[in-house]
Amino acid sequence: MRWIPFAILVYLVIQLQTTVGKVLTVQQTAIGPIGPDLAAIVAAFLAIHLRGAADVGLACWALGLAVDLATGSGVGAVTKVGPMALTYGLAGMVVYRMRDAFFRERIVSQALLALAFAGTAHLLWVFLQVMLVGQWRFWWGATQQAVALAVYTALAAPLGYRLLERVQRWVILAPMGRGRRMRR
Amino acid sequence: MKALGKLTKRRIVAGLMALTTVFALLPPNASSWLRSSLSPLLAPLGDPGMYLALALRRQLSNLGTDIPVGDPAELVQEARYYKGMAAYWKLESERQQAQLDSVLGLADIFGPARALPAALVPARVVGEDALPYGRTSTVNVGATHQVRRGQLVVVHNRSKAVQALLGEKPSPLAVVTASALVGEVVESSAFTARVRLATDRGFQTPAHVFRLIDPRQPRTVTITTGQTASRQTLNASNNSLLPVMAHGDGEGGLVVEEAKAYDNILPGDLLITSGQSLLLPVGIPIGTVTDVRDDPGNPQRVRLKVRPIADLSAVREVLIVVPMGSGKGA
Repeated sequence: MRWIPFAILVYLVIQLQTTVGKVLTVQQTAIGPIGPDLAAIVAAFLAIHLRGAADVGLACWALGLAVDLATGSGVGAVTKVGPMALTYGLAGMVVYRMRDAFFRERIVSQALLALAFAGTAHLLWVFLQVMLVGQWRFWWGATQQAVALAVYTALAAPLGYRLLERVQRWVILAPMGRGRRMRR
Repeated sequence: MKALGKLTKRRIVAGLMALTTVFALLPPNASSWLRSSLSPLLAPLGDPGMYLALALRRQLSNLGTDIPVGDPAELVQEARYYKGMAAYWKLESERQQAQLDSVLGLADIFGPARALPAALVPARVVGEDALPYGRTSTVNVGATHQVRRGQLVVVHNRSKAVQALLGEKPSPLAVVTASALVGEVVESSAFTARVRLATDRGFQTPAHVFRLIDPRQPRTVTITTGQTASRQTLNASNNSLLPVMAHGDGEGGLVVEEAKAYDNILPGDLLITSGQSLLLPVGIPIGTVTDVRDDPGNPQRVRLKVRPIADLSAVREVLIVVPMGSGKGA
């Protein structure tokens, strides 16, 4: 893993997500606004392509922390910093463990792994935030949003992967090759 | 020391996770401090990013049409809004005059307010929430401009007619009364501040409902004076402001729970901030009532849905109302 290019990538992704990325947000009357989590697409991509579990954990944690710092509300109160870093780290490990069961070149596999990542990270984040700020009345609405967001992110993931493959060599030192054993 | 052993990546990850868990358990102020300390890093690139985002949104909303969509509808809505606001300001002016008359004897000591006791700090939105759960925006001014938590944020009404009426350099009072509420400051650092939009689930404000009088559709309301209540047709003399509590619905609008059913609030009526604060004694328009529904649990109450006057998804230039002589919110 090349950490300096990775830090630049994280900065650009968060910048994109908080500005131009909002164009992709759609207003759904029953649930509320739904938009893709671009940082989750990057994190899922790294969880699929990085060699070591520690690298996956560290990269996903950093991306989650960046999302945490760029998110101010969501469950009826000012959100806490930290839960997204934890859930991204955990979701990264979930995808890392699952990836050998999928052909990662297939679009369906990419979408399913992104769904697993975004679903795990966001459902847990909503639960943790609601628990930490004590606003349980917002739990159900935010959970519905989390599910919709995970599906949207999964649908957008294959396109995101095509773009990330172009910058992969700048960020990943030695990507995991096909047929190689995982290094734990 | 031997127990710590070699500092491997695994141990670093475990340590960071533990540290994050501890940090998440700290009081909310710690999160606010960390977030606001690092948010200036996003501001430099956020400005062109937001410009691009709003330009794209405008293009997408006009896609496939030669004439920008919504223009005739906007004009009708604008006309209705100004009609309502004119009636509201007439009522407000009468109320203020009555108050002024009642304290005329003390005028020499205190004197009536001649201007808005607040400064308006122009700011620009440089970023929004990373996730769609909440509705907050980051603006490019902070504590160095006396921007503090709790201060109200408004957007200037961009109507050319209103701008022409106000002139080149309108007074802060004129600007605020011709503005629409955007939200309130929830976090402030040296160079940036985070604004919670009025449509966010966590936003809550005391407000007034102002009922519009339409001679074509007279409405009957219950007027209470002392212990007696009577049914009357609403007119300019008995149309008082109705105090309510409004909160964001998280879906692009606001909600007023438990408004009184006998006040006969109808779609089109206006929601205005209560203006009860001594630091900011003026009402700021929030939105218009779009839907009135009965409360299933209480037949005496209704639930109002309110659409904000300002398009909060496309707001870029805002004004922060900074009360003079106080670092605290209005």
